[in-house]
Amino acid sequence: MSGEKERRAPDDMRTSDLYPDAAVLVEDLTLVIGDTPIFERVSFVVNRGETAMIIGPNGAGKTMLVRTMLDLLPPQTGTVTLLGKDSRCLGSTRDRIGYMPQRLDFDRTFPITVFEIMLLRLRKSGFWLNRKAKRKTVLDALTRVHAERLVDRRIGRLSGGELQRVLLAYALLLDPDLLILDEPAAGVDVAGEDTFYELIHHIRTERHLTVVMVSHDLEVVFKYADQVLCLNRELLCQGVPGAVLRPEILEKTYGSLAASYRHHHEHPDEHDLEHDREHDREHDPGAGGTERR
Amino acid sequence: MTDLLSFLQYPFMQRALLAVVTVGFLCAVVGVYVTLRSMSFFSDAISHSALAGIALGVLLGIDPVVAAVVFCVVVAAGITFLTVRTDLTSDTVIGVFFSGSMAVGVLLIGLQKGYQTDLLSYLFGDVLAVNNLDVALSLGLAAAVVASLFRRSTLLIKIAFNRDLAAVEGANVVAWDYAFMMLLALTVAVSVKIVGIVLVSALIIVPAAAARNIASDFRRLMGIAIVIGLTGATVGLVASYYLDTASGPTMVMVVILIFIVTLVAGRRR
Repeated sequence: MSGEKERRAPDDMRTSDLYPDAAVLVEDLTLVIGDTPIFERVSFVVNRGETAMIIGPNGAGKTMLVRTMLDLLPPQTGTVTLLGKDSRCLGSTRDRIGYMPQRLDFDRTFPITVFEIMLLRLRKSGFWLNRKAKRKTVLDALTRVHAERLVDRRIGRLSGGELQRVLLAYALLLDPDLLILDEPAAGVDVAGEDTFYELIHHIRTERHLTVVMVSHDLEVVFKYADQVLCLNRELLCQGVPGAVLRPEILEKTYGSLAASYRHHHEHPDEHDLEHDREHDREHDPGAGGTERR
Repeated sequence: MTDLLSFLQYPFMQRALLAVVTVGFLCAVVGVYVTLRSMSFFSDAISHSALAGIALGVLLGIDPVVAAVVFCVVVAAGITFLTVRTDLTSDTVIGVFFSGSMAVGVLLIGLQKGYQTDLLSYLFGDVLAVNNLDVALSLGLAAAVVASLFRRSTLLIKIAFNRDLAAVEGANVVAWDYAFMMLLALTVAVSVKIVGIVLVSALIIVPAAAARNIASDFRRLMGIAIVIGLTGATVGLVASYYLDTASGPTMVMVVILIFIVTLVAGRRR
């Protein structure tokens, strides 16, 4: 990738041409809401098949960054290219992008079943008729996330974990190439979180998906991310977690909170011992730059 | 049975039946989306703004229903515009337009000479005064509104469910806000002559609300709301004929009774 950067581009060449493998290309992105700068001059590349995780403290602008990438918020400067298309005019490329918002905000009394929610994503086929024909497609998608038994349940009556599974199935329904997930395990109980991340990891490996994920959990980052992006109003680091997540970077990212994160990693609680040993093996400094698995 | 249907020998009752069936169906379909989007207050405001439109129509000598359609659409656009473009909550904006358009309506009525029986019939509806043009207008508009709602139902349901998901999938959410409010304004305008300004929003809200008490999925919600709307309209009309009561309030009372039944039935499940 760094070799690509040095190649000289003719003037009429777009930056995206320089990164033929990029699934996500964010260039010089700045978001200001009212008079408040949310984040400034953020640039990064996520190559096809990679998992990139965005970390940072509360209020660092992680969700806003994801929302800007998806053209839900208009940036002051900069551009976002998703799967080779400018995010402001994605057209049919939208079907190749799966999105899972953080804690989906909806009316819990909305009388709609999981099956019907999934039908909303299969937009060309209509909502009212020929439901039997679409049931198999929907059941297949739900089976992938082990949620097939929820198909006829009312969406408002699902537990936090069940809802996240359904939303993941929804995001995966059209067989996307790119998955953008904002804290996908929010609302999942602690015991279920690990399984949920494993599930995402399994699906992305199986389908060669590119994943961009906001996460608050450094363990998850060490375990699954090919690339980590530390955000706190600006991009403070990017690279392989084992190589870039140094104490001074964490301190810069999280400010005073860093101490507690470091503490967590250097003196793991009993139930985390297992995971942390794995990390120690995994982010052996020699592994920087290549894919860890 | 033939006795019960004897009222159908009168042409004005045939027109009335056709009009209430159209309006009952239309209001029920629109009402499902209105309740999902929590826009009951908005539909109330639009229906009350029809008063000013009708008064303006009478004053200028144009068809009051046509004037009401135009005025309702303008008010709906105004509310949507201010809600999108200012920091005011939609609740506040609707409140301003609600009282403002009522005041304009009452002032315009004051400009008329003499006592306005015709205007008063618009307040509570007069289905027996419905003429052929009214029936044709409501049938045409109802067909257009229902067709657009069903054609784009996937999108409209998605927007009502979660705006971000809809936007990420390419929906122009704000444009659809305007479009939906226009459809609602049209629905109100074609319904006011039949059920009246004061009661039209009941015919929109109550069937959907009653259906929501017992429906387990969205398709049933829509189906049940339509059945309740049609039942309320026809039973209400027939009852008002035999009981010699005002048709608009009778129709509303029928759907309210159904609402109470579904509320109890839904609780018991």
